[in-house]
Amino acid sequence: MPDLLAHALIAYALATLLALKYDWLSPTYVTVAMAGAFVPDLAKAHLLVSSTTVESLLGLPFDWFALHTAGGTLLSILVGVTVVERNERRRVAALLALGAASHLVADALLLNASGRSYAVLWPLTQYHPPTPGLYLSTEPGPTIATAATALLAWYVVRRRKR
Amino acid sequence: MPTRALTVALLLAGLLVLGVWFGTLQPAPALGDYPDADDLAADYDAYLGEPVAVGGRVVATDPVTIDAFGDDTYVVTDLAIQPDRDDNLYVFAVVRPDATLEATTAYTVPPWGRTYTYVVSALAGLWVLARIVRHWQLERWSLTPRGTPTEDPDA
Repeated sequence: MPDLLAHALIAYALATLLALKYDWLSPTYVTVAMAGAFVPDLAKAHLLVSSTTVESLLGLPFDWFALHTAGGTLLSILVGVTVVERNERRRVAALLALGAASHLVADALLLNASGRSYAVLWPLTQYHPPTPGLYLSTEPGPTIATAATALLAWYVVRRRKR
Repeated sequence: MPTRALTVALLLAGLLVLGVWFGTLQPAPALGDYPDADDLAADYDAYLGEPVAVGGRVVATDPVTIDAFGDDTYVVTDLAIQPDRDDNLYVFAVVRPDATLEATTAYTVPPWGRTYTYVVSALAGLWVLARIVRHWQLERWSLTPRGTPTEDPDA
C-alpha cells in the first residue's frame, strides 16, 4: 500500500474538499474519513499474530487479508458505525466508507510483479484486477505527492471559507 | 446498551467467518490470483511450469537466492535486475525443478524502504489517534463529537 501516511493524507484531502459542499464537515468529521483510511490495514495484524498461528489456534483455515477486501472493510466500518452515537451514524458511515474506499483504490494501483492487484471486490469475486503499477508502498514519492495535495486542499478551503 | 454490544459481537463473528472463508481460497490464475510461496511450500511439484508470484529477502546474490518470508528458499534465474543482499525481491516467475524460479518480471525494495514505511505509517497512526482524541469523546459507551451539548433537550 502507499504507506499509511499517504492513505491518511488522501482521505484528509478528499474530506477537506468535500467540506466546501457540506457545512457540517468540520475537522471532527475529516478525522473520521482519516480513520476510515486505516481500516483496510487492520489486515496488518498478521505482523503481530500470523495467519498461520491463528489457523493452529482455530483448527480452521484463516487469512487476515480478508480485512483488506471490500467485504471485510464493510464489516469493520459497521463496527465503527455501531459504536458512535446514534445521531452521528449516517455521517460516520459515509466518511468511514470514503476513507476506506480511497485506501482500497490507492492500493489497487500499487506495482506488483504479476501486473495484477488483489481481490479488492471480495467476496463478490476473487478477481484480481490488473494494476497500472503506479508506485510501491515503500517509496516516499506518493507520500510527498499526497502531502502536497493535502496542503493545497487545506489552503483552498481556508481561503474559500473566509 | 446490550443491543449495541450484541451487534458488535455479531459483526466480529462475521469478520471471523470472512477470515476463515478467505483462508480457504485457492489460487485462480485465470482471475489473476496466482499461487504464492505458501502454495509452493504446500505442494511444489503441483506448480511446475506454472506462473507464481513470490517475494522474499535476498540472502545470496550469485546465484540470486531469496528466503520467502516464513517459507522456503528459492534460487531466482533470468533476472533483468541485480538485487543486493538484504533487499526484498518480488518476482513473477515460472516454477522450475529444484526450488528454482525463472523470473518473468521482478522488482526490489531496499532495506531502507521497509524501515521508511514502518516509521511513516506509525507517525500517521499517531497523528490520526491524536485527532480522534481531540475531536471525539467516549460517553456512556458511545463515541460522540466533543462539544456536543449533553444537557437534557427537554429542560
